Amino acid sequence: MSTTTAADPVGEIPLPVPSPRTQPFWTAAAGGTLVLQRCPNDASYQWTPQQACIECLSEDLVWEPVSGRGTVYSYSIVRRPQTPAFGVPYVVVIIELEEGPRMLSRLVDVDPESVTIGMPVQVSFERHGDLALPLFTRAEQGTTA
Amino acid sequence: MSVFLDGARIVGVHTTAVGRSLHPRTGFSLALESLLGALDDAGMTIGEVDCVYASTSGWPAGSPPFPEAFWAKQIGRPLRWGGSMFGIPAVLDAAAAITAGLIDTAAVVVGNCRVPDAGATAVWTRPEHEFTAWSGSFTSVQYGLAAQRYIHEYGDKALHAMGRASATIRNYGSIHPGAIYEGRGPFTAADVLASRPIASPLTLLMCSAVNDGGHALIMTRTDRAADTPKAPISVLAGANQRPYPSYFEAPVLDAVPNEGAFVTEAMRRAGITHQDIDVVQLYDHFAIGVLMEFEMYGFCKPGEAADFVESGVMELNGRYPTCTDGGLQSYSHNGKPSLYRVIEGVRQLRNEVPDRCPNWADGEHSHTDGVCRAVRDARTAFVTNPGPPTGGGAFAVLRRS
Repeated sequence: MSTTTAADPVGEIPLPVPSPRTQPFWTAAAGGTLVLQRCPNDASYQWTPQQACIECLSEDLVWEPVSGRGTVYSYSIVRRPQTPAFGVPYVVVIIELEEGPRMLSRLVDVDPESVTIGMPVQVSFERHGDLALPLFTRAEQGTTA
Repeated sequence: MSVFLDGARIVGVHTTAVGRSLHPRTGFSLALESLLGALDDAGMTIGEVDCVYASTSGWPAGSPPFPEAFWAKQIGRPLRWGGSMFGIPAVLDAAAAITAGLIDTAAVVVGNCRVPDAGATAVWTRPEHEFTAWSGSFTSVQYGLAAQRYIHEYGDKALHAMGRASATIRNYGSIHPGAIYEGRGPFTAADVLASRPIASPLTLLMCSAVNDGGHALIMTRTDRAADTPKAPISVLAGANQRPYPSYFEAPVLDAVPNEGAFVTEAMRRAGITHQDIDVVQLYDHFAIGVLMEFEMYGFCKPGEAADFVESGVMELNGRYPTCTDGGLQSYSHNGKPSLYRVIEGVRQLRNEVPDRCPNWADGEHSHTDGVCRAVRDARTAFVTNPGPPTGGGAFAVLRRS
């Protein structure tokens, strides 16, 4: 998993404010690892983070590292940003993770016009102070991220 | 055919003027004008209102915990029901409460007015969620993601059909006096596709307008409705399904299994079918929404919406004239626009539709494309509100009594 530093054109993008329940996600991200909650009863992964399993309602969810690999389920090239902090164009994606869940994120270090549905991607953390955002980039051929 | 909530009728509607900015008016001012205007339309007085559903922006009525309490103080009369619901869910709740005898007369009131310099994108479209905001996925992007996947699954013809849908809707708005985009157009599908890119594949003319405005609707007991000046409107069927939280989750197309079942069941219970529908007011926030709603609400099968739209069904003389006021894209998206779909349905059923026909005020219409917006002999309207981007929503079937 690679780590890059953002260059934000004007100001800062809206950053997450971790809560006690979501802090494990952001702590792992800052260390370069993507984690998802998993249910010990039925092994199902959860995304977005939940308080109880979406299959069995168990509250005993456990954070587990995942591969950080997936494919592009869909994408949108944005040319009208919500704030100038997002330099345009930028590419918002839905990633279908190898483990199953689909995750909203952003693609970086990729020519927007070259993005296709089904394209293999891997997580690429982008640092913002103490935080690291789980963005994605094109998977390098033959690598194990 | 049965009437779903037979104890209640829609008897009054009002829309304020709409504008890119109505500052220094306020959300409350627009809501108050709408409330009094809808009561006047119903031939009723504020003393008869015992329930208010309110959604207004800004001081002093914006989003208090119990908006009905604010309105009770303002009106000077205790209110017995209501709250912060808006749009079709509020209409269904009011109809149920009136039919059950809990209240006599309900007002559903909306007013929204932005402060100046509110920013490049509408403030109501910007997510603050911990796992969404940093992706840059504001509302237009959510629908861009859904549209891109839809095209992937059903072919490039879907993109052209989105252009056609927006062009058709905008051509109604072009001849709607007072619409935000009045006089803009006519547009072709090619014009829509060639407009400024926003969030691919969506272009500017596939997206909602951003403006200020207010609107209100009055419902009362069926026996009281018999003594009001306009044709009372019944609610034949309706339902509300919101299967996942809007904008926090990735808008995947297969999020909701058998998502149209709630529509089919409600229509079946009312003893009606889509064949009974004369006019359709979809929640047309983005062009992709129009295609997906035609499928979800059962007007065509999944994957068939592109061909359905391209066959011309949405046109004035098509099978299902759709978004005949210009919709959210051309007439008005005031941030809280859910009641516009209902009100345009009511006005079509009343034959009370302003357009470019010289004697529209007397109900005389030419039914000519590009001049007229009135659907000939409309008796039954299908109106919708949004769910999350790719599943669910609210709908109601309205009928002139």
